Amino acid sequence: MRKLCVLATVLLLSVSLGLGTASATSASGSVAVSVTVASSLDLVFQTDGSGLSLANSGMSSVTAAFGTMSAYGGSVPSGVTRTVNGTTNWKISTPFDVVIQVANQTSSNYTLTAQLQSSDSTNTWQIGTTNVTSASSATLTSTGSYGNTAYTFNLTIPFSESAGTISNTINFVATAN
Amino acid sequence: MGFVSLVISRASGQCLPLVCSLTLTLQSDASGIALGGSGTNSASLSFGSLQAFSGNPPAGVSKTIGSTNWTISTPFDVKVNCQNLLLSCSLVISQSYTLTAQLQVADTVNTWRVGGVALNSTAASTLTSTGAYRQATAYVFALTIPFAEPSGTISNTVNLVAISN
Repeated sequence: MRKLCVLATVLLLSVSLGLGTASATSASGSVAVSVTVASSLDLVFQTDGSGLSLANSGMSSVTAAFGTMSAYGGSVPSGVTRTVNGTTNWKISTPFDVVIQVANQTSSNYTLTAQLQSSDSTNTWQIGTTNVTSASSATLTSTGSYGNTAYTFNLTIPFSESAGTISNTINFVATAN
Repeated sequence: MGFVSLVISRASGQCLPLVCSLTLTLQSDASGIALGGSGTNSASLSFGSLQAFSGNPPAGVSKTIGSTNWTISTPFDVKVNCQNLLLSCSLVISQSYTLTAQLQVADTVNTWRVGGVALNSTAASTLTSTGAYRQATAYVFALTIPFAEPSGTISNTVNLVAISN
């Protein structure tokens, strides 16, 4: 009887010790990830601190609305400059910011061009000192630095032009060099 | 006989860690991009060709643009099961698991995250230490790519390990 009891004790001890050495189990998995990164440029327009407030500032498609202006008298919107040139024409101008960023491409600078969407044989459209027409794109810079650059928009209106609304769109293209 | 009773008590309290067999499966999340090999433990995430400033990412993929980098992200599901193989004793049951993730190959340029946890190839990062069995848990995979990085293909493998607690 005593032998039996000892045997039972040893058996139970064995079970106890065996189970006590158990370790945590594990499982594994893997996720293979692949993405092809292509280079890209970002061009957005922002209201300049000294300029007319742009609608949709910070986007790539913005609007500069000058409202009603006249060569003599009337109001000039904040950030807009009016210049009367003798007896031939008058000019409205305002600065705006062009922000260009490059991603995933080795490029030290960019070329920026501008072109009028619709022809205008009456008024003169300029970005800075560069005339902008619908016939071809005009180069504003071929060594633009990435980041924020201020440009001045100028619209020269002849005195001989009838009163009315002048509207057009300037399309910009930035190309990484 | 009193000694025998004591031994039985100890045995009952330690019996369970032996009997839990874990399985880990990866599944497409309803809000994420479709996983290749969904439902297995070896899946793939193929984002295709993407640009920081142009184009739209595939359905289920989010793209965010920062000042110096951009990030693509998508959720996927991890499901871990603990299967009880033997024993009638049930005093101790593994109630949860720990899930870790590690990059297979070092990447010092891009930032890889799963569930908000940054991954590297040098050590496993813990995604959770209280994972619930039999539940498909969504984790967001995110890859942050610097603007300064040249174009090209980025690929790597995220290795996941679940350990019963």
